[in-house]
Amino acid sequence: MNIGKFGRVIKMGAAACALLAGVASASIVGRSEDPQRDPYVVMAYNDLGMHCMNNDFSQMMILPPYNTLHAQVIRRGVEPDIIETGVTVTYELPSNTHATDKTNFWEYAPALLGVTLPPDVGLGGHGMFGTMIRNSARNDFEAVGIPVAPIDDDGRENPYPLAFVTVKLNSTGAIIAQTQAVVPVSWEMSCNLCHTTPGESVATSILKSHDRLHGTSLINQQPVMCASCHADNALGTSGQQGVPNLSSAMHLAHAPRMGQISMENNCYACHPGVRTNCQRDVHAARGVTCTTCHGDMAAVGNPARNPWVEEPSCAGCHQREEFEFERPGQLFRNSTGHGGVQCMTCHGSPHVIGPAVTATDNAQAMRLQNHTGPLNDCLVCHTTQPDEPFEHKR
Amino acid sequence: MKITNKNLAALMISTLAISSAAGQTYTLVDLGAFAGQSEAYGLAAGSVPLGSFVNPDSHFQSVLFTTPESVLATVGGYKEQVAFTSDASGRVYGTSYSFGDLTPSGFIADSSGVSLLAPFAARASNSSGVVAGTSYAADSGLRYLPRAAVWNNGTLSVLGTMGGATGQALAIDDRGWAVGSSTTANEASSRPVLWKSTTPTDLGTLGGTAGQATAIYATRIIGHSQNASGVRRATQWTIDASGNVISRTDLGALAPSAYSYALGMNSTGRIVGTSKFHAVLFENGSCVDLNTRIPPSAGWTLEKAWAINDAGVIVGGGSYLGFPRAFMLLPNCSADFNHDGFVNGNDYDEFASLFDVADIGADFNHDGFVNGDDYDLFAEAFDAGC
Repeated sequence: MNIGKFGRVIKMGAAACALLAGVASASIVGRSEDPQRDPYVVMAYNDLGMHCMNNDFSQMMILPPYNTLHAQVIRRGVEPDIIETGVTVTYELPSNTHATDKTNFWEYAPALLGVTLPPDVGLGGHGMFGTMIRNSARNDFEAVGIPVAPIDDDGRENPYPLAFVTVKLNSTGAIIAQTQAVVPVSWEMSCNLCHTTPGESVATSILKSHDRLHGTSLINQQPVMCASCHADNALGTSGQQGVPNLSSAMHLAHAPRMGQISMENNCYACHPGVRTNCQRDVHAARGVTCTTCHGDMAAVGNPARNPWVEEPSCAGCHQREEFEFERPGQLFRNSTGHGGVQCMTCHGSPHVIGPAVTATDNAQAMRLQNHTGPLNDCLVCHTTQPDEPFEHKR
Repeated sequence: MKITNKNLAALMISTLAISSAAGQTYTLVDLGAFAGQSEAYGLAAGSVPLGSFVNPDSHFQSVLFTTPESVLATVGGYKEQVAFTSDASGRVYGTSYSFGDLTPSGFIADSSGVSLLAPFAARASNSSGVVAGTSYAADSGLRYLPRAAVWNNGTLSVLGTMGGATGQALAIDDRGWAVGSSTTANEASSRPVLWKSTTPTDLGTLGGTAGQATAIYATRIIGHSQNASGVRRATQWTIDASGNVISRTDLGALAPSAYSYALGMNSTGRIVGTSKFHAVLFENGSCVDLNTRIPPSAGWTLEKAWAINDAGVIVGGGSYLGFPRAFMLLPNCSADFNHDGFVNGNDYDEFASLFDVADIGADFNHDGFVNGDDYDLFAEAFDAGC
């Protein structure tokens, strides 16, 4: 068994293996009521804290349905281990089990992206349920590009569906750990606040405005993928030479026009949103706004900025001796600490740093340690309270 | 055709010509004159659509699309509220919830106002007011997993699963039989199921692993299930009096290998749903795009038909100028067989020409056969005029 790098690695001898086999054969299908008594624990998290997608793809696309879920599996012990092999990690969205009846993305994916996708399968090859793939570089398992739309099966809009993640031991098939994590998605992009021409769709208004201002003929090229001309790291497109990247183009083009908007948080004119409230973490609860971290629209739209790669740093505000808030040159969402544990495993996704203002986002922490906020109860992973001081950056 | 906003009186007399082949045509009623999006999920007595719209505060609010519309008060401190269904007494049921909260609540609206039922997401009721839905209550492991549930006269009962951890109930009939989906042991798959009691019965699929039942009436259950290729197809399960599955039928789709979902059904077995994200009607063994049964309507795409009542009225959600919008389809005068806006000898001649050669277009009662019943029904409609 390939043991991860969590804490001091324990060489597993025959006795330990036998003990493990005994635990597995006991099976935890009927789970104990206290996760801290279980021999394994799994923590799951979304990579961004919110994924925006278009509601209608017939005319244009900014972003497709594409939600990425990660999970880290830890074998509890005096010195816990991150488990990367010997287990199968699956995911499902129990209240949101199918997608093709909730968005017309699959009808327009060939024209927009040049791909014909199987129904309910997203651009990352994952469906609405399935097996997460090991990512050894992250010490975790991931399902990339789950094509979830913000509509539950009963028809209600729900931008915060809870995924149900299950870990099974390959040798026996027994369930050894389960958790729930929000797979956030919203299409509350309120372009209609400004793009309202009677008798025209919002997309028609946008495309016509673009044609008028930039000499294009997008109205004749529908459906249009914005990222086909504007480079977009979110979609991995390089765009066209001389055309600003999508983030820069969007923010700089709209910045001077935001005076028309009078909202408590003007970012929610385009990002989700007044109803969705995607910035819902401890910072939001304490009055930290989008611009506190990201800067104003001019800063976000700075052509020299590399969008999705150059993002706010925790260390920009947080400083503490012996604490490292991101790995050097790494974003929070890709950083690890404390022996290879993903930052998000304990702290939550970006924009959902615990404690969140939303109960769904706090559910995992509540279940594992009986309080919200970062996972700071050592006994979530350790079977005994460690004697050594907590090492955040190890 | 004119698309009007909730002016039902005007709509009832508006007629229009359709060049398509014979088949029920409809008058499209735009239910969504509200500033934001809207969706119609069900029909109350008198063919009154019910559903939700986005209010000026950007939250979902439940509504009866009457003239003028009847907006239901949001209660219990919840921010969102959606009306889904009603019973024979005219009581309306739905779900109150807030984004990011763990426990929604069912609500009931009647002459005394709106009040909360129980902590579950109410989705469907039978005629006597027994309500099916989904409970999200925490289990012993503090997991908030959806479980099928039925509310009956003040008591919420959580239904069993197929061995897995989750389930959803989406419809219930007058026997108290509920349908929906549930996961199997080890969360291996999510199966379409029938609950005659608290124990579910697997309805089976069209050859794939997953499925979901969405409506039940007498010997028919509808929904969707994966075929051997993994594609979800609208499915009808025929059951016997004991609830045993006699047959499973692929109801078709708008293309041979396309996906489709059956969502609503009336007592005569007419079924509506969606395929290729177009609202469809399943009739006579085929899947008909409802967008072809209305006049070309600038800006409209009917995307999802949620419900159909015994009068043949259909409601659902579509896209109007790119925005989600509720619609209602009113069946056009059936005796106006050639859809020219008049009932006269030309209609009789066209019907007779099809009837004489047993063309399915003369299947006036939509039972799949062309016979004397169709002739009688057409003659009755013709005599009555419109």
